[in-house]
Amino acid sequence: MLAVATRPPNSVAARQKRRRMWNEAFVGWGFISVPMALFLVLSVGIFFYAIYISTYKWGMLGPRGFVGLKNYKQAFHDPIFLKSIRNSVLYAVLVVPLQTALGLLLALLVNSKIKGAKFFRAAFYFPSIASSAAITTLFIFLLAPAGLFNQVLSFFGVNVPNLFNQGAWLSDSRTALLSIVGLNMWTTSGTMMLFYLANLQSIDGSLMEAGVMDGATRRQVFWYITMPLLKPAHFFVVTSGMIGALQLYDQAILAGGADGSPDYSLMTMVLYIYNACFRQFEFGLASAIGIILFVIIFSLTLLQRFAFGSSAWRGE
Amino acid sequence: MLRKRFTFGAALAAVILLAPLAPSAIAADPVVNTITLATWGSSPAETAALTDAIATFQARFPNIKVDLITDTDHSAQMAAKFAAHTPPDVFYVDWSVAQDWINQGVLYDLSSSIASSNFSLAPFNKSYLKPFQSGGAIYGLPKDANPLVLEGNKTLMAKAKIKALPKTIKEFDLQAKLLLAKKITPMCVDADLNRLGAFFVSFGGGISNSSWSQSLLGTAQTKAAMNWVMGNYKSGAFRTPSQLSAGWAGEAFGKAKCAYTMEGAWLDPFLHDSFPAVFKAMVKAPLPTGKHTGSLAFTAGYSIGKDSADKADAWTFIQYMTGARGMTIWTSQGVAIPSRSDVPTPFGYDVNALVAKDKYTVSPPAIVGWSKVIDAFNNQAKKQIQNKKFNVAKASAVVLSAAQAAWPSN
Amino acid sequence: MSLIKNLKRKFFYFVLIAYSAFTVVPFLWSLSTSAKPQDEVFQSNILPHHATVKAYVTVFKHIQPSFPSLFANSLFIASVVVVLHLVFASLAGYAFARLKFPGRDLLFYVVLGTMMIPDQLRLVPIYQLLVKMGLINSHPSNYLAIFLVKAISATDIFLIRQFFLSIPRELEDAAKIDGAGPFGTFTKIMLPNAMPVLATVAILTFQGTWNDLFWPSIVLQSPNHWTLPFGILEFKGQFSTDWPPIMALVVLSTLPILAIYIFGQRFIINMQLSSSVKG
Repeated sequence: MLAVATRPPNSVAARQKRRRMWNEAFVGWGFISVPMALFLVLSVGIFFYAIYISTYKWGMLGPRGFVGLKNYKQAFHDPIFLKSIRNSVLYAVLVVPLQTALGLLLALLVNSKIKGAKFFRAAFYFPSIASSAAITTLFIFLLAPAGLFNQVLSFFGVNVPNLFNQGAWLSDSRTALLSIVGLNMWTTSGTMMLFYLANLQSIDGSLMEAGVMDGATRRQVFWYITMPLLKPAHFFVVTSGMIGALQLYDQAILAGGADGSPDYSLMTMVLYIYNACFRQFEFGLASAIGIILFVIIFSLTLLQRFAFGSSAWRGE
Repeated sequence: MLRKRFTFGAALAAVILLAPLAPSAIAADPVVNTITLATWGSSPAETAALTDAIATFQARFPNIKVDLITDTDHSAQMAAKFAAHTPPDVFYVDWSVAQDWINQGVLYDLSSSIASSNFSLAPFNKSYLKPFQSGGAIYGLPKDANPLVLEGNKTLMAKAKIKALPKTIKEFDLQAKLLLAKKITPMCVDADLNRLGAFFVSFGGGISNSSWSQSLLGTAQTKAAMNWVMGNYKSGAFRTPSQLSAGWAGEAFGKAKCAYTMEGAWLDPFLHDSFPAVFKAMVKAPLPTGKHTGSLAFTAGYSIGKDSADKADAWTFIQYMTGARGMTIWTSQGVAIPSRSDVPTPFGYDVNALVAKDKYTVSPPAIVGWSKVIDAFNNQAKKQIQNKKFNVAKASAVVLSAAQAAWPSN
Repeated sequence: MSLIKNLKRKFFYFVLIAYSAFTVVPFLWSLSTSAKPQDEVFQSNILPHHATVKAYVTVFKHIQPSFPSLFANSLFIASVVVVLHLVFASLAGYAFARLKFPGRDLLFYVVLGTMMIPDQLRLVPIYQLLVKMGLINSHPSNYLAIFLVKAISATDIFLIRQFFLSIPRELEDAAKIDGAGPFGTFTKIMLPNAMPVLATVAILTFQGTWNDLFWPSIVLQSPNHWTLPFGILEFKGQFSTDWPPIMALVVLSTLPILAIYIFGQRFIINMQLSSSVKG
């Protein structure tokens, strides 16, 4: 903008161009004005309020004394909090690639000209439909030591009681988080499929046809034509998937209780925030952790932005 | 003046004449105050009992209408309402958060209301009042209580030729061997301080002293109890619900996967509906005694918020519901055990009343920050069981350091 | 050769069918549990021994507030939120994808940033704000509170933006040559071509709002305003949960989402880019 402003308005064309630019800028601001105003109140304002709160000992009725950075110090001195960071990050790192790959695979399948594509499109979406409470309850049922999952395992000759966890997948600290990874990979894949499906529609079919005509194999078309064209979708699916995964809460509290047991293996960052807010009523500490969580998510998002390159970001 | 008196007389006559016909047709006082009551979600049986009790309250006090709110997450929703200075007029307070809420200054001190209306606290079990007391003031009254008792499955006991529930720890140990020989899991109990703590008490130790000012978790007796408990998990005499493929101990008991469990009165409606055969085969007794008897009891109370709008009517409601009359209606179906000694225990729950009157039946010491102590113990105990280490020293050390943080004065 | 190809094909379809069986199991399990009597709920039989519609009768007859009232509220709230999301997210998504204006990238980072603040942290301040605005009450204006909380979604803005980025620029340029302004380009070219993503947003928003209990339980005060997930509370105790009616509610509330999904799919699949450029 600076460059534009300093250039002398020496011609009608330049003036017109400038007017068009300002026109576009006003339209742009207009388009985003209502959403931004709402974000300002409902999220951005609260974010800055949280920063303020995080420097206080803050109870349900408000401030109970300024403490500076003590809440942050307290958090980092708590081994349970450090474990919650580890759990959340580990979970995100595992679940994001899995759910993305599965979602993409499903989208490509139901977008192709297979028989019964309509049926499969509906079926694959089913795990995403039900509320997470209903589906987690079922999952706890299926993964119990005498549940369906272990019955299938023993059908294939696995001696379940002799397994290192005796088949207690969700109540063993070594497999609990991995079980939740499996659950969410499966439930979110339907949604991820939908995202990819929408984006596959905007890819010009003639490009792929041209590729095939040029003698490229289907595999080459996929890797060199389809995948790059899906870049904006990849960026969305991975970023929003990562942000969602780092906020794991529902399934953790349903499977492990508010204490994230056993051995805090299901204690996630947001569950820790929940405990600080609504079991210990320390809003100052909770806000400090919220800020730390924000910093972690934001850095990981930036990292992804660079990993994807600016073309995914800007779509150019 | 005369006119007024006449109106009053006519109204009184109308009340007397109309009252039996329709309790709502009150001409004398057309002003009806509405108070809000916030509760947590509960079983259909509990909701029915509460609605019954509220109906009798409204018949007695026709100018107070009670609006019932069922919270999905009581603690979170109450926190939001406290912060906005708009709490409901009356609400449930769980024993486990009462001290935290008192400490946060969101509850209203009932002392002056209790004094001015001559409401006697004598009939209440002292241990049930404790969660709501602080610094000589009282911020809530226990609406009921639920002590842990021992439940047994007669059918499974018969298989090991056991005739009666174990009265002592020694008897339990003997019976456990008999049951294990028949490949029956003796007891299903979660590795939870809110269950196992009962044995800490009966072994002569405990979780804290009666004034909650000092932890007893480090005493030799409590350590002996921890040793016994961990030994049971090691031998298979105790198993956790998840080891038995159940969501909680009551479910494992209902599925006949264990001969005994130790739960409160909430087990009954659950078994009745989901496992009728086991419900019929159930026998109850106080928990086995060690050095002496011992059990834990969990209570919930009614409180008023410091910012509640209608404190006077709210107190009228609490007075009724925690009084003998209201509590009788609330507890008559067996959804909970009365917290007052002058309210009869419903038929079939006599053993709970027996336990409730025992001086060794205590509320866990839910001091400020108590949730961290519980979390520390439960996580460590479950880990020890899962890894088959059964290391008592480790579990004890972890809970002691958490307790140290909660009781800085120790 | 063709035999191997045929076998491969068969195996491919076998995998697809096996996976779809895996995906519909939860629904079938809910259906089966909803038809079980209470004493069979914890038994391992997959199909009920004594199938009953008692749970459905309970849901229709005894639930308070009534099922039609819960259903109507869910439908009303979800529909309004869908419209709000479509309008706001497509406007903002287009602006972030295609228009040039100062602060665009910074503001887009802000939008992404809002996704990173957990709801658990926002709950108390938002509730306080709504109380100050006078929207926490038992009058119809209480609906405004839930609309305000749910009016915008950063995820939807992000999703639509990414979709617009993948639309070839030639489409727009053609419109610009025809003299269309930014708004004209948006309504005449971009929106019609965005049907797949708009349908996706509509489906996901509907479903998310329909299943949500977190915000409604904080915001909606009067039972007259309650939505379907509230119905579940009636049967849920700390220990003795009455599963069949809950599962009946889950089944009944899944059906509208399924209907919307199947209807919305038409706008996702087979929507080729309009050929106005080529013509």
